[in-house]
Amino acid sequence: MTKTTTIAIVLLSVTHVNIHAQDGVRMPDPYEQLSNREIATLKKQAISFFSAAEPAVKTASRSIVNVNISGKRVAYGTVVTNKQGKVVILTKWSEISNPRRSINISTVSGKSYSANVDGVYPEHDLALLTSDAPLKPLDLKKMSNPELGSFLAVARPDGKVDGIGVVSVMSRSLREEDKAYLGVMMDFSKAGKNGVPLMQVMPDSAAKKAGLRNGDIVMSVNQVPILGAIELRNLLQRLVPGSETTILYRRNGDEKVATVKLGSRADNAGIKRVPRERMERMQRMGTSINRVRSDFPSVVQSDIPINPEDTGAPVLDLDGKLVGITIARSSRIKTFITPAETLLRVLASDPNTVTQADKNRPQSNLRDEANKSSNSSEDPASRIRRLLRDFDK
Amino acid sequence: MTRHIIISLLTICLLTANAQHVTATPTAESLNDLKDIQARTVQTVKKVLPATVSLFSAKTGASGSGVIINKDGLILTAGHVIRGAEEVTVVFPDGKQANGTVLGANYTRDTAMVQITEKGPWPLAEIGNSKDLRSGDLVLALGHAGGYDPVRTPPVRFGRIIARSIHKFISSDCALIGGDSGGPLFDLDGKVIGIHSSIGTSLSANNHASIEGFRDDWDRLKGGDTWGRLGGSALDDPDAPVLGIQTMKTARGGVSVSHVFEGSPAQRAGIRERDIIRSINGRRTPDLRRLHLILTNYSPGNDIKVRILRGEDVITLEVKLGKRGEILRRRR
Repeated sequence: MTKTTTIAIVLLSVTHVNIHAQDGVRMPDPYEQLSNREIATLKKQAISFFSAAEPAVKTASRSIVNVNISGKRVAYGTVVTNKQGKVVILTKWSEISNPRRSINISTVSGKSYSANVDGVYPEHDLALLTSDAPLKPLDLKKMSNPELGSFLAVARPDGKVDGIGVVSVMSRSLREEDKAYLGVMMDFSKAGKNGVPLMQVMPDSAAKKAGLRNGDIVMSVNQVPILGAIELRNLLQRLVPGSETTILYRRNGDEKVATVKLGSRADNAGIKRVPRERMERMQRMGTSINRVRSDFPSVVQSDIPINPEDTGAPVLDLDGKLVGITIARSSRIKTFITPAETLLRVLASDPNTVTQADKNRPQSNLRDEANKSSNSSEDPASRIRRLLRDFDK
Repeated sequence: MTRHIIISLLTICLLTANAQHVTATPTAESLNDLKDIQARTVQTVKKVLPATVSLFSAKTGASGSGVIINKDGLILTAGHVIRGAEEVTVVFPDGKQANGTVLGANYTRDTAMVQITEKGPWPLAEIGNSKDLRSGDLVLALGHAGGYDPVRTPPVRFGRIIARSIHKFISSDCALIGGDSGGPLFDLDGKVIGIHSSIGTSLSANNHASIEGFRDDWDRLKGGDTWGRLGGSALDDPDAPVLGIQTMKTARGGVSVSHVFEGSPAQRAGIRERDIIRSINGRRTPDLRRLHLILTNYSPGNDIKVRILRGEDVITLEVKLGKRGEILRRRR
């Protein structure tokens, strides 16, 4: 079972082989190490969690529909309001935008209804559908803003739990333009003790306009002392573009103060991130991801494992209060949720028409073509089986 | 009196029930059970998040995670995160930074230590016990997935222990990705029980070096010793420069070659098993740590002169460095 001798490593193989930090040692699949009894216990444990969370999703599940194209579910939809005798359903825009085939929705009873795209919020990748389906809207105002680490449950039309996870990261914007930009280059290789020297102040930048020059040494930002380039960068990215910022700096031994009106777009240079190509390979390990999965203006990040076609479903806290709607499976570790508060704000604004939405679609939305999985008509048992992963070999 | 006995009996029953609860696989029988687990999770996350740091080396380009385990700033991380680095930058979830010195590493267990050079006290998470971990025990993973991101805290993942594995590794279904390497796995009390090491293709194949493995090697790691076999983690950098050898020990003032990989730069250059590598481009290689430090000054494709002791002969071979990833692919 456990082979500690030298066996060839299989890199990114489709079989259940671990790639391990061992030279020549093949890490066996974790499940291979378990007895049948242990596997059964793990399975029972997972089922117990899913069943225990069911009361939390019960009410919300009555407001969910399957959104189908050519008889196959491409997303869930959540009924959010009534309008002129019809129900209005929120779903994931990019999953229904292309191909332009007719969309229908179906309920848990198996009944199908036609549906029209009534409006689009391209920034959030949300679409509004209208339909005659006799469903009760979800009360968006019974919302929750759960703490980091709180449990979340995704509802599904049949009243079961679609997935369980935690709040991995609190609500944030994923857009570069929401990060403040000073416009300076710094040396990231050294952590300074006495402020951060500016290697270069970029032309036309916020820093330039405020009178900063090459060689100036930044001592503090808004009274927060700065010890290194990373600290300065971190602090700037957390400030709001357009905000007035006080920078204390040293020039030729004199301390001076500059008031900077920050620009937008983050300067990500200098910080070591995992290279994009490698990340993209890892993002898909063990999961399928949505085509549109980034650049959202406001999302909660969770570790709930869902399928790409499970987006558009309500996410509840353990008290049954609405946290938001699943908007993307983004990688092996993350599912994005559009928060309830954002949904209310978005729904109060005017949507784009489909034609406008096509024009305004962000470039990044077209960038990637992810493979989509096809588990649309999964029953609860097989769902749990899949979530327990890898059992039935 | 009778009432007292009844209460005592009840207490005993409760205690027994509790004791059973500790050893049995934790299940959630009701929404309230889930809420109890949630309360512990939320509490723990608050406690341990400030100690979950990002580590990066400007020299090697490696970016990973780590966890501070005492107030003086001792950090546990993964061996492959600090390979080839002497200094690392430590970045905290709140945006602050500090300097770290790399101590020792055991590559076989993918364990390593880093010491923050500035004076503490630093935020910390206590180390726990991984010996008694069982399949089904509930755990939390934190780490700077994808590298440090100033606009978010390190993502929290909830899961359970799946199995124990070779070399004191443990696996969980807390999904990991690049950048998480070196980050902490906690029990629900917030004690560090593992350090993220590698992933498999399934979502439940996430491997962590256990704290038990750290404990076994504690003094050596802290004392700056570097040993063990380097491996092929998908979380590791495939573009790192390598010779394509395995080394198990030092001998006669150099690094003894225990294996030469098929088709590797070392093999092409004529390096053999039992050769002792004494220096690279004139810089001495008394141990594996020095060898890695020297290698990171070069890139794949560079030619280096390797001075070797073979029996009683001293020879110099020229090696064109390769990429880690290529050697792994060839060994498929």
